[in-house]
Amino acid sequence: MVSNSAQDSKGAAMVGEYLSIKNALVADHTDAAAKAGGKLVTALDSFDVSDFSDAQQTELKDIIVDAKEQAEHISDSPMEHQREHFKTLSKDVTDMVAIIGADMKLYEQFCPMYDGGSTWLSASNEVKNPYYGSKMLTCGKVQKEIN
Amino acid sequence: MFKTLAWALLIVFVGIQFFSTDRNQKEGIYVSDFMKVNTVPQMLQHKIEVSCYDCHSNNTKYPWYSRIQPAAWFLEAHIQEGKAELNFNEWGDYSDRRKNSKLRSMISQIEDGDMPLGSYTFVHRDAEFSESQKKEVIEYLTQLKNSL
Repeated sequence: MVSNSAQDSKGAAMVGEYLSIKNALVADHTDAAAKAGGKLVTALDSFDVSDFSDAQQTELKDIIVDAKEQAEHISDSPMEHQREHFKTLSKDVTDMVAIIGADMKLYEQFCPMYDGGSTWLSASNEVKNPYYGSKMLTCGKVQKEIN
Repeated sequence: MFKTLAWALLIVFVGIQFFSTDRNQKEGIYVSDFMKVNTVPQMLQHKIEVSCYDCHSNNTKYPWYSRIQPAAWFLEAHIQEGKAELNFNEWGDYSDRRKNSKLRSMISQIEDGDMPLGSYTFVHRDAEFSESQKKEVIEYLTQLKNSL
């Protein structure tokens, strides 16, 4: 973990855009999710891995490439596809946060119904489901607290 | 008026024939190819190559009209995009994380009938997946994903 504040803010930007996508999907807003997806691509691009150990850098680069692909798809897909990519993205961001840490409390939440069980991160412990939105807003539970 | 327009279109059509596109043709054996690093059943191997490799590998089997503009541009754009998304020749070089997310996308795209593209199967009837082939290929890809 690194205490460099510029680095922290980049990590925070990344998590912030991820949470914007999540909130947009909760609200069934394709356009807002797409816009946040585009911003997440930029945030991931400007994330500097150089302060981390070699092993962590390898892992982070791998995560970033994958997360970027998901974010790009979210930026130009219909909602159903956005949600599919959001599942993969959630895993990427969760793994990334495990390495870089987060400067805010995050809750890993779990919906057993979507695609054989899917997780996501939220800044609040109240469950609002990004995989179903208004169709099944409160489906899920808090699985883990991070930080 | 109509005549002038027809002439103008003809001139444009002839003119764009002078623009050539890069051709995606590099035959060779790739050690990291999907078929090399995985044990793919023979039948599926052939099916995947026919249905996917034209846009998702380094070697396209071009149709005759690929020499004609604007078809060549259209094809080139699709191939570039397809390869950036997934290149079967480079499968072994992908990390497990990326393999996992690519397999997820492959399964969902085939399941939904989004891949192969309609504009592709329209001219390549043999690229289409029958219901049973679809089931078979999805089963195989799912098994591959679970084994990562």
